[in-house]
Formats: sequence, C-alpha cells, structure tokens
Amino acid sequence: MTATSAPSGRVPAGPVTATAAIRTVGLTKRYGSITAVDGIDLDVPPGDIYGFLGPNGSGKTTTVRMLLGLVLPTAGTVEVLGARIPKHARSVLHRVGALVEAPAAYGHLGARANLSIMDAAGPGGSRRTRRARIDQALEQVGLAGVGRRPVKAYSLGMRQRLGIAAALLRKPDLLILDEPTNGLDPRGIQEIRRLLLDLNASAGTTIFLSSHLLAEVEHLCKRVGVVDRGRLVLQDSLAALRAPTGSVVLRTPDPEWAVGVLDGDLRERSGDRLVVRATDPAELNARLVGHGIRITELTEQRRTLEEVVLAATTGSSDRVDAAVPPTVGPRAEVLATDDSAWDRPPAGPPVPLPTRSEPARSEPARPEPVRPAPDDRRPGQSQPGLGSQPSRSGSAQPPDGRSQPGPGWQPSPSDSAQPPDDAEVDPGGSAADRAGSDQPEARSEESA
Amino acid sequence: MIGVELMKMLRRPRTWVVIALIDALPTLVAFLLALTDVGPRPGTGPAFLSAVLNNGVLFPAAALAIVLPLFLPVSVAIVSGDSIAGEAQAGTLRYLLARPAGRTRLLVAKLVTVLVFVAMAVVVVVVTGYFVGTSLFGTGQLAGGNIVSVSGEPLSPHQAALRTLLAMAYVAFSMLGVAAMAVFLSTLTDSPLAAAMGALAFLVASSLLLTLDAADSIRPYLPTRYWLAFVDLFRQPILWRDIVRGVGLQSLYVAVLLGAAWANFSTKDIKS
Repeated sequence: MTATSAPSGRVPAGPVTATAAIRTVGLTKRYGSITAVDGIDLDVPPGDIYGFLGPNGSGKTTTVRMLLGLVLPTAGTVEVLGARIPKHARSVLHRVGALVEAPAAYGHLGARANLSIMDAAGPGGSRRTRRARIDQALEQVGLAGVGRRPVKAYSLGMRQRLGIAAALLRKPDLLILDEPTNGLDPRGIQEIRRLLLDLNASAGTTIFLSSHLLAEVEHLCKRVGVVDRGRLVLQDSLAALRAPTGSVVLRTPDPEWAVGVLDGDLRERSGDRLVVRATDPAELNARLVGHGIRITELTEQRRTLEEVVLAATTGSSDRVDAAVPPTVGPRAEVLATDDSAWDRPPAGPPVPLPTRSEPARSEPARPEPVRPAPDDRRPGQSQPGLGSQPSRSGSAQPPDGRSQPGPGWQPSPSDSAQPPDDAEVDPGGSAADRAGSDQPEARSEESA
Repeated sequence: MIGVELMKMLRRPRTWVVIALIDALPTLVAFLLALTDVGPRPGTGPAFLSAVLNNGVLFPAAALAIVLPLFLPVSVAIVSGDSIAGEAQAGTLRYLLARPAGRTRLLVAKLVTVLVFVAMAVVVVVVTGYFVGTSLFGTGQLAGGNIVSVSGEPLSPHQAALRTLLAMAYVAFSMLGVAAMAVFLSTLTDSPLAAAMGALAFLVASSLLLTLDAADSIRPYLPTRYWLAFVDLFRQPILWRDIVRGVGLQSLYVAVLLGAAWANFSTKDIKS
C-alpha cells in the first residue's frame, strides 16, 4: 500500500490514459562526483495537489529546476503536460506557473511593470488581455492596491505575493511552487493556501508543491513524494500514508485497572496514557467501559506526516557532522531538534520509528513500507525529539481539534479519518481578522 | 523579446547616467579648449584636437577619439557584463527562462540591446560634439567652408559629414569585441561586476601589449590594435587598409566570443 514499489506499481486515481501533469523517468543529475538527484520517477496526475517533501539539500530544488528546463538532466526524461522538457519547453512552459526558491523582480520597477515584462518575455501571454490578467493576479494574491511603488521597497511577504501573482498570470494548468509561503505570516500562509485550494477546485489547476514545511503539505496535498539524498523514497496518497496503525491511544484515570483488562494488547504505557493494539476502537471502548473503566480520550492512532517523513529520510544535508558512520541510530531526534522547520509540535504518540537498516538504504527508490508492522519493530522508548505529547486526532490543526477535556472519548472517526484535502483551512477563520498585514488593500473576499 | 529587453534598458536610470557621463568628458574638453585656446601641438594628444580650434565641424570626430580608448569601452563592458549575469544576480534569469523566454532568444535580445546602447552612446557623443564644437569653435569659414583633412587636403562639408557617419559606424563596431567578451563572461559568472571587469582586463592587456615591442608578432591580432584607425577616414583619400583589417579582426573576435557565449549559455545549468 505505501511506497512506490515499481514505477508503474501504483495506479493513479484518475484514468491511466490521461497525460500526467508531470512525469519523470529515472531523472538524474550529477554535479561532478556528487549525485544531486538520483533516478527520480515522479508521477503527478492532472488535477492533483502534490507535495514534494524532503530535507534541505535532498534534491528538491534541483528537481524543480529540471522540470522547468533550467537545469539539464544528466540522465532520464522529464515530461510536463505531456511535452518533453527541455526540448519542447517553448510549447508548454507558458502553461506552467512557477515559483522557484525566492521570488525575484526588477527592484526599480513596480509590481505591474514587473508582471508586464515577464508576461511579454515569452509566448502565450496575449498583449490584449495583459492588463486585465495582471489586475486579476494582483487581486488574487492581495496586492490589488499596491500602486506604483518600486519592488525594492516591498516587504518580504509582498515580494512573495508578487512572485505568486507572476505564477498565476496566465491561468496556468500547472503550478510548480517551491516554498510558496516563505516569508508570509500565518494569515498570509492561510490566504495562499485557500487560493491554491480554490484554483485546484475551480480551475482544476494541478499543483506541485515543493516544501520542507510538513504542516503546509499536510494541509494542502492529496499526494506526497518524499525525496532523501536525491532519491524518491516514497510516493503515495496522504490518506494511505496516514492510514491507521492498528493501535488505539487512550487516556484513563484508571490506568492500572485498564492494564489488567487489556492484558497482552497493551503496547506502551506512560502514566495514564496507553497505547493498545486494537483494530476497532469502538469495540475496545465498549470493552473497557464494560469493565467500568473510565476513559477520557480514545483515538485511533495514525502516523503523522512528520513521522512518515522522518522514517523515510535520513538527515538534513545541511547538517555536517564529523566523520561518523552514517545513519543508523537515533537520527529521528537529530532531525527533530536540528532543523527547526521540522519540529512542528510533536503531535503523535511516540510511535517507535522503524529503524532503517543499511540493506534497505542500498536499495534505491524502493522504499520499505513505512508503517511499522503491527507488532515487532519497537526498538526503543519514545524518542526525546518526538516527545511524549498526548495523542491527537486529525491533522496538525491549530488549537481547536485536540484534547477535549470531557466526553471526548469517542473514537470520532469523522475527525481522525478526515481525508487530508478537507483537513485544510478554517480554524474558525473568523472573517474579521483577515485584513492581511502585508496587504495594502482592504479585502472584500469571502467573509460570508 | 527584443522589445522587452530594449524597454528594460531604456527604463533603467543607469543607462542614461552612463551616457551622460560619456558625453560629459568631450564637452568638458571642448570648453577647456575654447576657454584657453591652447590646443595640443599637432601630433600629440587625442586625434583632431589641434585641428578643432580652427574648425568645430571636426569636433565630433575628436570627441569620438576622446571617449574611444576608455570611457566607451568601460560603459560597454558594464552594460554587456550586466546582460546575463545581472539577471542571474537579481534572480530574474530563472523566471525569464522558465517563462520560457528561450535561451538563444534571450541572448540575442541582450546582444541587440547592447548594440543599441553602443549606437546610442556614439550618436549622443557625436551630436553633442557637433553642437558644442560648432558653437564654441565656429564652422571655419576658411577655404569656403571646406575642412582640412588629416592629410592636408580639403574636405567638403558633405564629405566631412559622410566620413563622420562612417567613423561612428566604425567606432561602434570596434566596441563589439568588448561587448562580445563581456557577454561571454556574463554567461560564465553570476556577478555582473566580474564580467565587466574581466572584459576590461582583456582590453587593458591588449593595450599594454600594443606598447610592447616584444609583442610585435601578435600585435595585428590584438583587439584594440585598429581602434584608432577611424582617423584614417578623415584622410584624403581615405586610407582603407587598417579600417578593413580592423573590421575583419573585430568580426573574428565577435564571432568566436559570441559563439562561445551561446554554446555556454544554451547548455548551462541555471542555478542562480
């Protein structure tokens, strides 16, 4: 179920005959003796929102640049919207909107002049509609009132918005966005997230989102691919990756009692928090309650995207240690403490991560299943980095979704089984607080 | 694409500042000459300056001779060196190429822009030279409006105008070698400064070797060797030999360097 076991191993949700928005086969880039990208087989069906994840330096940006014909592959092929890149770049790239690393603009010109120059610099941007398209794109990203101020006077967030506007200018069929929410404040991030979901839903725009921000991907994407050291170690739907682990996490004021009842099904205990092997949370609940055990919280255990990714990857390549034999031991906490982008408040129970053994590493792009098998593989105690936070349910939402004090003991499948695509948005989204900060004009938008 | 690049150049304040500076030097020279009435003795100083005191019509040619050795090449190197490396440094190169502007198209557009810049600079120098020269030194009523050529024979005003035009074309063409060098370096580095300085180093080396007797055997191949040959256009009759050689040599440099620039740029990994 997880992991691409073969290039064609997984049938995409859509019809197989449809031209993939992005397809790469054996994509490889070497710089001298360094292999930056190593045989990546990407498959992004049209209409998808695809999260491309990986630690810093794992080859994400190089891959994105190859998709856009900026970096020429050493081996392998790239197809974007059915056309080979870089050979047929001219016939197809104008239908692609891109944000590669940071946005860039001519500092002495204003937003409109910049967009106009970029639009005129290539095919597919009709001069007749240019003005209207520019106005619309600026409106979409919340820069409609920006006026003629030169871009060099913009804040980081405004530049980011301008970069996204440039990507949207020709109503692209495919958006390739590298860290699109860089430099935006939380509200700006949410606006952009909404905008992207909206484009995907209304215009069917395929979105390829390269990021190391797990929360962003978790909120947006339907499918994810994970790269590590230039290899695609995982490519699957988010829902499949975050399928139940076969355990249930519960809290009870009567832990001793519960342990007695649960007997051999207990997998882990810390204080009043128990991890129990059970496939049916409702049944477990009934059993415990039948014994008169009080339960304050009970949820099906799901792996967080963070756990999935940490298990699949080895380490940040921006971390340079003294010569130590590579990657066996406790890299999980290394990662979690090392790179602040990765240490989202640990939301999951301390699931033992499967330690990756060397044989598995040497097998290229054939990732091992990432979910721990129901029983074995529990090498250690909770990793310090992943903390011993209480369980949680849905995705990594802001405050609302969690730890209801009272009768929250229901398995609440509606919450935990949430499909990732509507796990998005709206932590209350109070319309009042949407007057974005780096957004010069009062937004009308959907406040309903 | 070419239109876009031209607009970008014309909308940049820097372009106009550079042209104004290029123009300022000959104008300053003209004012000093007019005030002091002390010209360099014949055979010394920039070409034509001693003749200018008698006839301002020659001042455009003198102005070209003043800016040719340094000011013009420096400005051309700056503008050409900025062409690709400047976009790379600003980060806009990747967006232009992903747009997709097309690498060859972009390079051609940049070259045309550089050409236009050189032409603009030369035209501005000559036009202001003409007005400054004629208003400060008069049009020399000597010999019925004829101008004394470098070789002593008279030139009719018509001939003088034609030859000034030829001189402009030749000077502009001489700059193309520098431009090609700077554009080539600009595709190699992401630093516009490095590209411009590299092209200037190339010129300084050439000028230095020209003065060295030991470099006699390579002298005819140095890029700056025939630059001042435009003076020959003001001889009567025109002495074509060096001019033809100069054009040939510049063409060779331009072809080789632009070929290298294209080969490098069209296969380069854009990592900026």
